[in-house]
Amino acid sequence: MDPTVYCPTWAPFFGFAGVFAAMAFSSLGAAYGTARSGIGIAGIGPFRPELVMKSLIPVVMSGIIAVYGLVVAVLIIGQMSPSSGYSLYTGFVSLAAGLSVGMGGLAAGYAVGVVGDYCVRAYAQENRIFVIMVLILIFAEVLGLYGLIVALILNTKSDNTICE
Amino acid sequence: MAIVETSVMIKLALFTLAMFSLPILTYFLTVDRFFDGNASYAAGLAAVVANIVLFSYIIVAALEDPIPEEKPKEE
Repeated sequence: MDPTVYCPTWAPFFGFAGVFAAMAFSSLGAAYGTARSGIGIAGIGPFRPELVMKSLIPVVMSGIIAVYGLVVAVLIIGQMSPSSGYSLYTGFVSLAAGLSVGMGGLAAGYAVGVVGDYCVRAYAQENRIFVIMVLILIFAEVLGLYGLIVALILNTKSDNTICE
Repeated sequence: MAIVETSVMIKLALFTLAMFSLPILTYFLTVDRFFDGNASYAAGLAAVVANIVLFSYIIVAALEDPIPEEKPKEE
């Protein structure tokens, strides 16, 4: 197992790409979720301002999606260092982890946004929608959670001992 | 007259702060002390803390009493 083959100097590129994917795509999902549900909240604001705390639940959930991406990004960054060896295998693992949490967060953020928009508008007219809204939002949120779980499991498989 | 009550604003501000800071603080505080450098467990705990903040927000919002609307005086 030749370290120069399995631990090339350009291996950290994939690790940093994983960091980028984790943060950027989950932020995209969270931004869409926040913006889209914000449209709905602004729609009901003039008519039912007392519902503001319950209406902000989709926005809070979008924030959680961005937190998932942040956590994975910090996790991957913690393994990178200029002096110790970094194997190409670990680079690919980090890229996969970043992409899984990023794309999962993108999907979850999109779902939370659309559901939040329409459900908040419906909640302003009918109070009993609240439990249904929270349930649908939780199901949309766990898409991002699954991406996070896969990213965490992948991260436990990273291994740089081949570079010694 | 404020459209939204002060207590609601304070709750929102506290939850916002909690959401920003608690998960990442949990990660950095526990990664060396509790998990001996095993970063994946610390990241899992940070995700759990984020979900705890979310569910406590949902519970606080659900338990909030709706403000009784002022009935317009009828002639």
